[in-house]
Amino acid sequence: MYMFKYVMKRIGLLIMTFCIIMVMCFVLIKMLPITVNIQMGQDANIMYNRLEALGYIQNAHQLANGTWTYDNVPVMIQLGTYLRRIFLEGDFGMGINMPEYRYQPVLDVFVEKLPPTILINIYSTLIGVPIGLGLGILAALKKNKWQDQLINVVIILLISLPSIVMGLIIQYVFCFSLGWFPLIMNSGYNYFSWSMFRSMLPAVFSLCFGSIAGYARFTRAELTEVLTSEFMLLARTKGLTRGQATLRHAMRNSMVPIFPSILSEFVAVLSGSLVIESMFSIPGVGRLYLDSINSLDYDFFMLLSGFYTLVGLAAGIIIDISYGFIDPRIRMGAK
Amino acid sequence: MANKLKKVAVFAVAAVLGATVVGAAACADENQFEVVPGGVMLEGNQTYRTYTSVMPSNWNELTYEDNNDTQILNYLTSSFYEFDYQFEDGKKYNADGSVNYDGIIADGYTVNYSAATALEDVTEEMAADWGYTEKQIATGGYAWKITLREDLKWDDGTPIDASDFEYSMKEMLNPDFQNMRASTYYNMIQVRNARNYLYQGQSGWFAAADPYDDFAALVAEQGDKVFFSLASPEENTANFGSAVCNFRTAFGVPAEWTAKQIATYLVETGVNCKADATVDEILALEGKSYNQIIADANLKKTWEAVLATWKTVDNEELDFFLVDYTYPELSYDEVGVQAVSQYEIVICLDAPIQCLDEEGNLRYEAAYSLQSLPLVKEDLYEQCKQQPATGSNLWTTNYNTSVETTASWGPYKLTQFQSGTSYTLSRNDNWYGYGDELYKNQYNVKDIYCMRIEDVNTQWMAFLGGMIDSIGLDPDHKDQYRNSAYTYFTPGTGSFGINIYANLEVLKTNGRNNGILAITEFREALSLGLDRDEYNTETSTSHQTCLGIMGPSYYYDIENSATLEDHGVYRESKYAKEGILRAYGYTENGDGTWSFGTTKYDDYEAAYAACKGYSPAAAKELIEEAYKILTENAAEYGYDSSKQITLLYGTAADNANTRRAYEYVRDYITDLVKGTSLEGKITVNFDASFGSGWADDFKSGAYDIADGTGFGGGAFDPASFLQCYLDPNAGLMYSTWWDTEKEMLTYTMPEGDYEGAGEELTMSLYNWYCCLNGIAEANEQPNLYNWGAGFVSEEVRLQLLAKLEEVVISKYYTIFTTSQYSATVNGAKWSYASEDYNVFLGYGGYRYMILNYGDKEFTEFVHSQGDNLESLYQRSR
Repeated sequence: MYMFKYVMKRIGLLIMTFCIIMVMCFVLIKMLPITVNIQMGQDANIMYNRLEALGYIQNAHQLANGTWTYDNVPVMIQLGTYLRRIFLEGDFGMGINMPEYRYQPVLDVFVEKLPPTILINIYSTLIGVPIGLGLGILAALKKNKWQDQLINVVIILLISLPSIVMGLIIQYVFCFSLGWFPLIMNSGYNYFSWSMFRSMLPAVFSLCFGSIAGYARFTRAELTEVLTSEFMLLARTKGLTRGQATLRHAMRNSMVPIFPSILSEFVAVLSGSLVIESMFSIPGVGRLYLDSINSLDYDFFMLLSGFYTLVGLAAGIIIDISYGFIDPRIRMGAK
Repeated sequence: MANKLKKVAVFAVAAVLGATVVGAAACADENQFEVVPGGVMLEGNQTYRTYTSVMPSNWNELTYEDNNDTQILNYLTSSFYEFDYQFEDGKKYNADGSVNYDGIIADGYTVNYSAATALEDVTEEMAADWGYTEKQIATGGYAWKITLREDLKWDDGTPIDASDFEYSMKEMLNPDFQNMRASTYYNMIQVRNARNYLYQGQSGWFAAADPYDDFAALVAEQGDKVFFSLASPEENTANFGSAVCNFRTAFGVPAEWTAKQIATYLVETGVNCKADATVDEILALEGKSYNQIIADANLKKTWEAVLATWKTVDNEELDFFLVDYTYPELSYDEVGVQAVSQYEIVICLDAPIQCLDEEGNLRYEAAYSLQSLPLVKEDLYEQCKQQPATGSNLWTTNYNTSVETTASWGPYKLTQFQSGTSYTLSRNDNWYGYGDELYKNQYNVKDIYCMRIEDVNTQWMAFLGGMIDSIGLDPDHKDQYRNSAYTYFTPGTGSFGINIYANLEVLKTNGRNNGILAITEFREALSLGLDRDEYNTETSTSHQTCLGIMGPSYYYDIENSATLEDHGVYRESKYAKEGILRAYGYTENGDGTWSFGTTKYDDYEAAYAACKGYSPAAAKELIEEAYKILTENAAEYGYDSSKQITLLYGTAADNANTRRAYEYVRDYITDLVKGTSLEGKITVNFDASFGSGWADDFKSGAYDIADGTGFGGGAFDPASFLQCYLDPNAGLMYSTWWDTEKEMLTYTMPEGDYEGAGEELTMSLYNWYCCLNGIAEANEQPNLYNWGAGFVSEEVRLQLLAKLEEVVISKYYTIFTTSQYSATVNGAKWSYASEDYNVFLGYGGYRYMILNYGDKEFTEFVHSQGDNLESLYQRSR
């Protein structure tokens, strides 16, 4: 029961935090000045009329120096309108400024672009976690032996290489020179075909090599510490083999900090990798967020802010709860 | 149980890893090019595969916003009149019906009927209904009747007729939508009442001079509702919606000046004379209606005193008043695009264009200015209309944003589109051209498959691996491919320069102590002190030096380019060259020789060949002159000799390119003042905080040097291009303080048989610009000469154009430096029709592309080259 109460309390706090963050995002993006660049043959009057008609500005007019000025529609009025649109009409708005998404419903675009990003990260996690943990465990068990040294060298190498360099090497060697994989991700929506999976692999490898190094290093450090604990000695003295003691006691204890890090990394990469997506032409959400800010595409910005804020906050709760499952000694909300 | 689960989990992970590795290895021998193009092998065998960094999103003719959108739009539409190559002996086809590529005349072109079958000047017939005057009838070119082909169809087979064009224009100008491209029909070609139809219903406070040109009529109509105001936008926020009077705009009053500051200026300085009134008396006029002012003797006297400081021509009373104005409702019947029969459209214009020559043949203007009208498919367009969202009153449409919402009447149709990934254009079998003699054995490209590849390295790997058929040459690959047999260079119309902020009123108060920028000699020194060749080499990849407003891509007489010595290229013409020489300090001697300093040149050609716009010695002398003027008039220029002069170099972003350009400009200015009285007194600072608002920030004086700015477009209409520097109403001028409507120019028009020939005329620069473009009447200018294209000889227009360019350069508000150049490496699969660049047809485009390898043959060819075409593409010619 105390767990249920704890979760309810956290969800209540989540909603409150979410609302505060969203209001802050709305106010801050609306505080940025709107810029209109006029090209040859275009009519500034049309540009400003559109912004007025969209309810962003009012009293637009040309100044003596030829530039235009306007007043912002009060932010709270705009916020009220936005909320009415979301909650009463389920309308998340339409792209206005971003060159690739003008006149396209922002929700549709986001839903269309999320699967490639999620899939690549799932594949990356599926490949990265077992290899990373395996290498970490091996290094910890063979601490200071040649296996540990070798793994450490690999880890240092992988951590030192930025993903852009890793991506370039993979693309040049395996895609261009050897022709093992396509240079870019395939078109189409058949994400679970073999051809599509194969076209995603270069991006997946580029993403997961960094993670492998991170997991391996973290696991090695945690496991090394746990393996030298007194309870491990006790486990061995009560008759468990080294493997049994490691699996049942050392691993479980070292997982307390490792598992949340896996989860949080997965959440972080949901926002996509700008560099990797650009390099392998992944039609994901990588640069959507940044572009929405640069282009002042308010509806995109708010939808993406809402999604990532919600995912981040929810992940926080899940991570906290997961501690209790991994280590029964941890009881959330218990007094 | 737990152990079993663990085993299952371990097995699953191992299976995934195993499958990955085995799968990759198993496919290692597979032909990657069958998979790579989006996993799709198109059915046809004549696919052109290309790439884009930014995918298009909106290829709607009414609303498209940039060149990304036109990469689809261009192939979904057709033209009434179209350019084609000129062939030797007029022989376009060989005996076997194939195109006579060898007979292409490099610089030649023809203009042909395409979607239209006839074009007639019907100014006289339309005169009664549209109010054209006798003079306009005599001039002609105001009303045109276009007769359409009767076999025009949409890609689904639906017939197209004249009413579709009328419907489309009505939607284009629909005020509910505020379509981006509507201004084309009143800014580029001036369709009668197009602007008024779009603006109808718009209301608000305006400077009285905006909607009215006759003060007496305004007063008679609403004397109680027209209000005197000198106040700033802030002061007028509550009562007049922040509108300001035209006096502020016309006189160039700083935006922040209050009514009291202006009143003080009028009393103490004045414009024509000092106002015979006190500041308080002038301020008493503020917010009063015209009738109130006239009814009160004291107010009337003050008003007359204020007016006397300003008024030189009729109706300048308008400049002091504000009016609450609503653009009246207008029936579409009054807009100048009407269907007059099933296959006939009449276009009525406010500014004439001359589309036919004296024999009634199509001039290039027909295919250039009257190429087409917007066209949307009515039923689909109506379905795609989107009601305004809550809180908005802007109607939108998703027409032409996806395969389902797209209709084509051009040579290709959209058959596949995935946002952010790829699109495919395929032959539109319902296009009239495929059955037309004009297009026989052309359009060999059956499908155009475009992938989004953003990363430059990926683009190159795709190109060298044979996955895409051409690539733009970037700085990193310039040296390897510049001399390749596969590389084609294309001159662009973009011309760039360094803009210098020179509005003294703002410079005096900006705290940077840099009023010296308002001194012409200083700006001229900045111009002559710049080594443009070095500047372009250091700061760009393939751009070339340009000393004028326009680069070498502009033609003053494209129609006669084949017969003219200068090929009709503006930059190569005698007058343009002489204008450049004068603007850069060369003087013409009476005997045809030219001099610069002590150096003498035999003729203008020799002088022009030597002119680089770079003379450090002359520049240093000008620096001394400027410094003398500055110190002798320190108060006027707000100069404080105890402080450093700071020039602020502003940019939108802080990156390697902007830093490199800034450092170059900083260093050259530092070198320029070395050894002069200004040595050590000038600092050039960098500020990259201006973001996307950099242009407006410069116009407001937030910084002083805007580098790499410029304009492009209008290659065959250089006279119109002057709008970027002389038309304050176009919203393009960076030098917003320069009142080209007030600055006068006296010039003697060349002799000839036209109105104004041989006359010495004095008019404002803007008026000269309007006359040159045949839009003086439409813009209600004092002098109404029509020297537009086709109405006087191009030689006459050229001379005036060169004079106006010289005037612009000589202000040194912009230091012209650069003209645009780009290069493309075209792969082995397709060849261009011609090795020579043609100004209208480029290298022939998709229309004339020659297929060297079918899709499968090319894949085999790439394999035979070791899947890497690098060495092939680096071979020089």
